[in-house]
Amino acid sequence: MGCCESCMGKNDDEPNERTSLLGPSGNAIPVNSADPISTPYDYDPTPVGSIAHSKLDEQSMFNGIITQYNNEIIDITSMDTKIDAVEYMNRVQLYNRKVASLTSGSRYKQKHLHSSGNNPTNVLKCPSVPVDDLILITEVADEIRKAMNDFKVEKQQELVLSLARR
Amino acid sequence: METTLQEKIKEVMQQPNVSGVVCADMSGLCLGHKGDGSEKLAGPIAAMCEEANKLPTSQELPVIVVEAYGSNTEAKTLLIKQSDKVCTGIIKDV
Repeated sequence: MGCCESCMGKNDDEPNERTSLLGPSGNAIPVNSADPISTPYDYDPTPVGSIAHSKLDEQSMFNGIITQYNNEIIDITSMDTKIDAVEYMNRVQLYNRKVASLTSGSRYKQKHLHSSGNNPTNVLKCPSVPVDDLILITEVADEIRKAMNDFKVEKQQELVLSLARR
Repeated sequence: METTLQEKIKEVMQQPNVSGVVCADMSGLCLGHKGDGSEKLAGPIAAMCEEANKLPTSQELPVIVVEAYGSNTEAKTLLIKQSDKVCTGIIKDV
């Protein structure tokens, strides 16, 4: 029929549904001992469920977070990394050479649109679009627009149905 | 209800040197096509009409002409014009 694991003599060190969250002294204890945020504090006579008690918990959490980030943050503004102008220009040239070598590959070359170059007259001498074609497309577009007027939603039944009363 | 549109497209195909027709709405939906006019052209011609309408031209909507000259294919011309909310493209042999 199954067995109840709580009756099987489990290891009492592992937290279970009967483990007290507050601890024997009424103080908040960290669930994970490796968690750097939660830090134990001295016994407080204020009631456990009071608003002041929860504010103190939040305050201690915030202080822990601030302490953690103060230890992990690297402030680059305080670094003393001044370089000479000559060194700076050398680095600029080096980086430009590297970028040019990477972007000079064939896959970076894109096809360009045909340009008139130095002879724009050749482009201007090309025959223009025939007027007949312009008239054709204009008339056809107008006729098709009129044909689109036949597109409509035909009403088959009422879209709003009234529910029958019981 | 699309019979009128289909008939119009057939009439256009009977014009001399016309090899394809494509019709699309402004959202790029293909409303009809025939011949060399593939339904895949519906989106691009709608987009070209939308961009061409931004030109500061006269009150009438402009006609877009795309000319293609290929070594393996014959020279063709694609004429595009928007009328109200419908874009029409006609492919003609040059």
